[in-house]
Amino acid sequence: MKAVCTVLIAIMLIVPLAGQARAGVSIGLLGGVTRMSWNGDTPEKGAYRPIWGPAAGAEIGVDIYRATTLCLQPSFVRRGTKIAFEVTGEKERVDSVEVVLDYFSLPLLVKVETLRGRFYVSGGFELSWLLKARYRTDADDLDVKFELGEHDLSVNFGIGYEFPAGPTSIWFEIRYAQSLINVGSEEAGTPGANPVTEPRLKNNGVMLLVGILYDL
Amino acid sequence: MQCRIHIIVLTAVLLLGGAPSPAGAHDDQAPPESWSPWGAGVPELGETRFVSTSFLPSPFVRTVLRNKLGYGKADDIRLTLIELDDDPVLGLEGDVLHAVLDIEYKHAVREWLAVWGGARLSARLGNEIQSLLAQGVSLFTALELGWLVRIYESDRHIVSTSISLNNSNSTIVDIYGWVDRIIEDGGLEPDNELVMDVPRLYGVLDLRYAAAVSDMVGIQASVAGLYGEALDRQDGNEWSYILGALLHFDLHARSGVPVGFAVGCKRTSIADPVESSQGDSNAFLLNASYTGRRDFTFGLDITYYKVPMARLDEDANVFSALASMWYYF
Repeated sequence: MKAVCTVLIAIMLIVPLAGQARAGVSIGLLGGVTRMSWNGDTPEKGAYRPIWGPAAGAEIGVDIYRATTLCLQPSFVRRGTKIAFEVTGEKERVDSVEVVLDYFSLPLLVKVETLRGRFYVSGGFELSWLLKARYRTDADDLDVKFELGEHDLSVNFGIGYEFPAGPTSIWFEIRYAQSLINVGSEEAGTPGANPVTEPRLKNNGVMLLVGILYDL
Repeated sequence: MQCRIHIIVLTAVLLLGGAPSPAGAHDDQAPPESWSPWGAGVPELGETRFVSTSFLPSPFVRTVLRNKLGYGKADDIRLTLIELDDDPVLGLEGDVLHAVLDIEYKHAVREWLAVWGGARLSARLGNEIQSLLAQGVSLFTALELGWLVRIYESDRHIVSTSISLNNSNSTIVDIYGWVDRIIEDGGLEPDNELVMDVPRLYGVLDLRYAAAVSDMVGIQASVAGLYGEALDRQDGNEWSYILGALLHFDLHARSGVPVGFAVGCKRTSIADPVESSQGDSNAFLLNASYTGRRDFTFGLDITYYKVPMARLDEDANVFSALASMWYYF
């Protein structure tokens, strides 16, 4: 909870300061798909495979410097993974388990346009709250939210292209997200926990996003 | 956990608050129309041309593709197994080899900002049965992404900062440790693994500086703080640092001979799975590079490392030779 407060305070500090620097403010909507997986420790005779999911949200952008925008993108994002195991008689690993994690996420990104002004790069941090967690096999569909961490914090790096069209613009972006926090329960990540037994397991993957922005 | 979140968030606040400020220092200036991410060429300050080496991270915002191929060797690794009256009577000895393949692309988005991505593959193994048993085999893969922000630049000085994320995986075959644990446990326990996979994620925040002393001589320095997962799981998360300095000499400036040299030193506390480094290690560099063109350079880094290696009483002496090519767009 303290982390959430810190982020909110940070946003409250940054956005008004940024707003003073430049007047440009834009709002918009975004949507797309995620292709996420887990990376880190793998189960014995298993491997992680990516899972596709939706992403949708809104965007508030504030111009803070020439060609530089600070963006807040509250979104719904699906993450998770498939886990494929070796199965006797099969040459390839078989997708046996699907872990689907739905998050409400709050990415705070800096977008910087290239000199020509169409391409841009983006980067920043994304704080997420776990809404729903399902563990699915052919036989079961279990709620495992209580076994996983309530929060996730990721670093994002993106490359995008923006089409200006009057006061509005449409953008496309491919964004790489790497979680900094283990997916496991938060108790496992406390200082007293045994780092040897705590699995190093994090969300990572790419998002393909499209959005529309309107300059106020 | 909370503490970790706070550190990361505060870093974000500082960075997000600070990112525009370097450029903001020139807020009232007109954009440099002549600037382009293409054609800026090799790193230069005024008339001083800097040698390209990956020994220290460069403070210059350039669009560049770099590849690096290298080989290293730690001679006469000796591991004592049995001592009698403090005299070793049985031990393992041999050489340890390592090879590195590294590629990186850095793109200058603005005159004050570059983003980069890089990948690294390296391997280490003993060249004889004894050293193979003692030091095992390691395979290391890493992906790095980062932003470089120029804070200040004049004809004589440049200061930059960067933030990056390094995501790596080490596969370690530890024969000696595996046997040792069998003896300790009195048998093979389920958690005693011969082959270990160690994923590691850490972030780096650094400050980079270069200065032109004369048209022929330049200096470069950097300091970096790293925070993230330790190579040894017992250590959980840890802080590390890298400090280094370089002295550049470009003969091309005065004699027309298209050759440059760099000498430097570096101290780091981060454990390296390839060198099997366990703690603070020192490195000394001698570089020779071709400096005749503005869009392309290649060089050779000869590096000597003094490395505290696992299970060795004395620091190991490692020599490496890295050939690198740099294409500036």
